[in-house]
This record gives sequence, structure tokens and C-alpha cells, in this order.
Amino acid sequence: MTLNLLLQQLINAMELGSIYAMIAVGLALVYGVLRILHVAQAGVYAAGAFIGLFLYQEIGSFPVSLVGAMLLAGALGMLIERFVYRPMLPRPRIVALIASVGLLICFSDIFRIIAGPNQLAFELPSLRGSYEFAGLVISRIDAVILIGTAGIFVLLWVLLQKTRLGFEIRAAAQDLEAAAVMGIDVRRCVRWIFFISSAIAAFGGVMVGVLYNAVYPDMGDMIAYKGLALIVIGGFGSLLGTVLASFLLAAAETVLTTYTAVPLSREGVAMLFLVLLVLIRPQGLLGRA
Amino acid sequence: MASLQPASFNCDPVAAPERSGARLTRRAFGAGMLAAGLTGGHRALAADSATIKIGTFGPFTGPAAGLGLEAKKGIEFAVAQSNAAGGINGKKVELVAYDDRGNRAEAVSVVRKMIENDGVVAIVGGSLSLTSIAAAPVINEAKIPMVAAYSNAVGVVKGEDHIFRWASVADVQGWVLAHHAMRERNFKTFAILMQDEEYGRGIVNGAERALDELKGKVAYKKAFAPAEREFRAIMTEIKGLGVDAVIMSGFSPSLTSAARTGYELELFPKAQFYIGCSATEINWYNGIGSYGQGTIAALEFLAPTDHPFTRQFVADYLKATGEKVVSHQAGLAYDSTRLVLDAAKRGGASADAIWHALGETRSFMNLSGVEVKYTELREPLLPIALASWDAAGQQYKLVKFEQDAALIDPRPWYKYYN
Repeated sequence: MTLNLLLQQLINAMELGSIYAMIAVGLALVYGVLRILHVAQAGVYAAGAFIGLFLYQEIGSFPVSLVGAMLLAGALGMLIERFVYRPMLPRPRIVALIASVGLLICFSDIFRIIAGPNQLAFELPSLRGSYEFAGLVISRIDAVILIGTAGIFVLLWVLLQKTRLGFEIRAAAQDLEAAAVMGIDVRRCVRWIFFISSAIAAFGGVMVGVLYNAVYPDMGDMIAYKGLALIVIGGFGSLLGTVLASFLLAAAETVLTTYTAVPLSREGVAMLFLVLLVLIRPQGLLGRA
Repeated sequence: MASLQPASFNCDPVAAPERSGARLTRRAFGAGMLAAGLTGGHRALAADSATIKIGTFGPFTGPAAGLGLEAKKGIEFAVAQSNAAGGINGKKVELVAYDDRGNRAEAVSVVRKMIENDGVVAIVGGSLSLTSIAAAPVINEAKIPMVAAYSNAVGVVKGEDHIFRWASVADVQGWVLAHHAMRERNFKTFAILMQDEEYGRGIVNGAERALDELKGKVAYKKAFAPAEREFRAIMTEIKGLGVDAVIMSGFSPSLTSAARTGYELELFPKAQFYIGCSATEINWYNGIGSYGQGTIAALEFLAPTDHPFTRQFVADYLKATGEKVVSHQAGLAYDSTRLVLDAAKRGGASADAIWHALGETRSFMNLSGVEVKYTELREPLLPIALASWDAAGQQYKLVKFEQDAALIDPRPWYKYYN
């Protein structure tokens, strides 16, 4: 393999890892505070793509559609928290997990009823084409995804580390009850967590819709399984670990699905990765033992 | 509405299956008078009612719903045309449709239901290869004829004497594509991408055997899971190998993504992209956008062609459904329904009569206006329309109809499947 090819594959893996990270970070945020495996996040991701496409068709401005989709998906996430998870918090967490899986299936069916079973095009002429330098090719949409993901993670870091809300979220993630006793409005924290994670998922949904020029009802299915694998691999609730896991998994997939005869799908690679890591390091990459 | 008249046929009574079933039907009718409500009676009564009930099943919900609903559209259109033209020998045709959700167990359950409860006399359309394979033994045991429309796996028809097909065998598509690449384009080195299920494996089996025979070189081969959309790394690797052509099997979402990625990475059109019949699924038209110019597909029909029947069909279909595109599933299901209704017209409206008439069919004109021969294995010698994607016009343009029996015959492929 030439150096050029290696660098090109590295870019490919980073682009894939960015997509995974956008989904998994939201899951890690929710898990970190509520200890709920929020599988329905994948439905929110698909909802974001549908909303973004609808707004783009109506308004014609991609940036406005993207922001609109993030805001509306954020609101959807808050509604899910208020009307699905909050009533279930006193019950065993398995109840919330089952509800979350049910919600994901419902989302998929609702999209199918509203938009039909076939994929819809999310064609953005301004993001067509590619940049080429030193023999490396990077498509415009890939560049936007990489830059956008980096921007979102910087903003998330600033929010969590440098703001009052971030401090409260971190406190709630350490111990929800203790944070409440200390006067932190944990319900407000949880609402914001769902808003933020859903908005990030919508960003991912819109970008993936444009990347593959396809928005379709079950586009969240693959992400749901992979997201779960990633938060386990990253270390339950560890944001940094989840991001790291996303990029490592993308790199592993790139190598295994391109250069080996291993007859595994990408999901298979993720689950194999998960099993191996759980055997070697049960707390995940950056989780606490 | 166009009539069914252009659908010509040519029967060979000598080769007809034994007519033992006709007696059984009359006996069943007599018994049915005593045992109304029982399965056999229901089936017998269906033959004498004012309507002819035919069934279809397919994925109408779930991830593969797009395929099933398209097929249903083609079947409904054929039934509506028939009824508008006066029905079959004075009887209206009634369609019974069940959703199998793309699930094997569900497919078995719904075919039992349509046979035992609804009393259908024939089944059209079939479903995905995997669900049709599961349902075929049940249908065969009940002695209900079925014409599978978009199931390309050999196992759907092989060994089930009541199952017919109106589609090509997947292997034939790969065989034809590879012959075109090597004989007519003089390509030497290839990359092969295979969707890892019955249909995808069939196309690649055909392509590999052709490349082997014609001394082509496979520089890269990779299997991928159905519904895969991420091909960046694979296309990057293929680009580095400098192959002449890429032959890919798969459903349209994967084909679309691979084509777009290949063009973005500037692999295509420098290398020729070859794909199978899923190239005319709705998701290709919705997803390919401005990419894909010059991609060559092996199709089982092409609409529009210049044939008057095809032109009339396209106009009527657009008027009735609002669809400009005649998808792979809709077109094949439309033809398979015409074939069943034509058999009912010739042979009679009972399951047994339809089965015999189907068995006697020696040729039938397809949607593209091509006369298609039928083999003794209940498989058509379906010409493969090699077509090139015109990105500006968003349609396929005919390169040629491959009618060489040595290339399109499904029979040699049976030996590879138990």
C-alpha cells in the first residue's frame, strides 16, 4: 500500500468515524446521567434527516434547514424525555430500554407512512464535487462533515467545561441524587441533555442524508446497534472514550472490510470489536473499573 | 386502457403436463358441496364463481416495502387492464394481496391463508428470493400455480413443479455482463463487489465463471452485507488497482451509493461500472442524482422502447399511476400477471387449468415487445437488455437486447444449486 493510499483511507476512516461519533456522543450523554440506553436516539437521527430534507425543500437554504432540523429534533428529544423516559425512571432500567426500542420501531413506521418506503433524494449541488491536493481526493460533503463534527465537539467541550450548565450536567452525571440535594435543577439538566444529544444526532442525520443522497425510514437501524456498541466500547458514559471508540471502530471497519476476507458486515465488525473489548477490558476504553 | 391483445403466445400441446388435476377439481367440487368451508371445497368453488381470485404476497411494510409495493402496483395495473377489457372469459379478476414483511415465516403463513381461506387459483409476483424460496414448497404442495416475478434465485423454481418464473436467473445477468465487458469492450482486469445473499451471489457466480472462461483477471473481490451504503474505502482501493471494469451485484441502495462514491473518487467513468437488474428499482432513480453516467446494467426489460405495445403501456401506466418510471418489480410483476391471466383465458379459471396452460406456454411477449421463449424448466429465456444510464435524461438507453440462447439460458445454472 502506498503512502498516498494509506492517507486516503485514513481520511475515509475519519469521515466514517465522525458520523459514528455524532450519534454515539448523544447516547453517551444520556447514559452518563440517566443510565438509560437511549436506542431511540437513532430514530431522532432519522427524524432530523427527514425534517432537514423537508425544510430544505420548503425553504431552499441548507444552513437554515440544518439549524432548523437540529432545533426541532432537539425539541423532539425533550418530548421523548418528558413523556417516555421520565415516567419510567422509578422502574428498572430495562423498562426504559424496551420502550426505547419500541419507540425506534414506531419512528421507522411513522416515517414510512408519511414519506413512503423508498429513499428520498437529498441532493445538494453546492456540496457536489471534490477537492484534490497531493493526490488525495476529499469530497466537499466529507470536508463539511469533518469540519462540522470538529466544530460541534469543540462547542460541546466549551459547554460542558466552561459554562454553568455544563458544570451542572457533569455534577448530575457523577451522582444525580447528590446533585439534586446540592440544589442543582437536575430535571433542567436532563432536558438540556436530551436537547443537545438530539440536535447533534439531527446534524448527523442531515449530513448522512446528503452524503448518500438518501433519506429513508429505517436509516436509523444500523446506527442504533452501532451506537450501543460504541458507548460500551468507549466506557459507559465517557464522552471522550465514545469519540475515541468511534474513530477506532471506523478504522477497524475500513481495514477489515477492504483488505481482509473476513466475511463480516460492518455491524458484525462492531459487535466483534465489542465482544473482544468486553473480554479484555470490561469497563471499556476510558471507563472506570 | 390497452387490451391484453398484444400479448401473443404460442402453445405446444405435445409438451403439456399431464392433465390429471382437472378430474381432481371436479371431484373436489362435488365434495365441496358436502363440506362447504373446507379448504378443498373453497378452491373448487373459486373456479366456478363469477370472479377469478389471484393472490400476491410481498414486503408491503418493513425495509423492503419499496420493492413489494412496486410489484403490487404492476399487478394491480394488469388486473385493472384485464377487468376494463371485460375480464377473463367474462369473469372479473379479483386480487388478494398479503404483506409478508420480507420475512420467511410470514411468507409461509400468508400463502397458506390465501390458498386455504381465500381460495386463490394462482399466485403472481412472488416476493423476494428468500421469502419465495420459503413459500414455494407450500404453494407447490397445494398445487396452486405461481409465477414469481422478481425472485432471481434458482431455488425458487427448482424442484417445485407448480412454480414458474418471469425473471432471469441471477447468474445469467452476471454471465451476460462479463461477456459484454470482455468480448465487446475488450476489458481485461476486473473488480467484483458481491452483495452477500442469494441474488447477489448468483450474479457474481455468473460473472466469475464467464471471466474464468474468457481469461479475464479478477484483481479484487469483496462481499458486502445487503443494505450497505458505505463504499469509500473499497472504491479507494479499487481505484488504486487500476482495473478496467467493476462488476457489482446488489440492491439499488447499495448500487446507488457505490456509483456515487466511485464517481466522487474519480474511479468512474475511467473504469466501466456494470450492475444487475436492481438498477431499475425506484431507489436508483431517487438516489443517483447527476452521477452514474454510462453505467451499464443487465435489465430484464426496458421501458420505454419503440415497440408500440411498450409505448402504449408506458402512457397508460403513467396515466393510471402517475409514475414515469416503470420499476424492475412493477414491470416484471405486470408481465407475470399478464402471463397468469393469459393462461386462465386459454386454459380455464381453475388452479389446475391455469397450471396446465402455463406449462403449455412456449412463448410470451414481454413488456419490451420481445417474444420470450419458455423452457421446460418453467423458466423464460428472457432476453437481457443491456442498457446504459443517461444521467442527463435520468433514464436507461438500450445498448442491445442480448438474445443469444448460449448467454441467456437459465438451465445450465441449475447444476450449481441443490
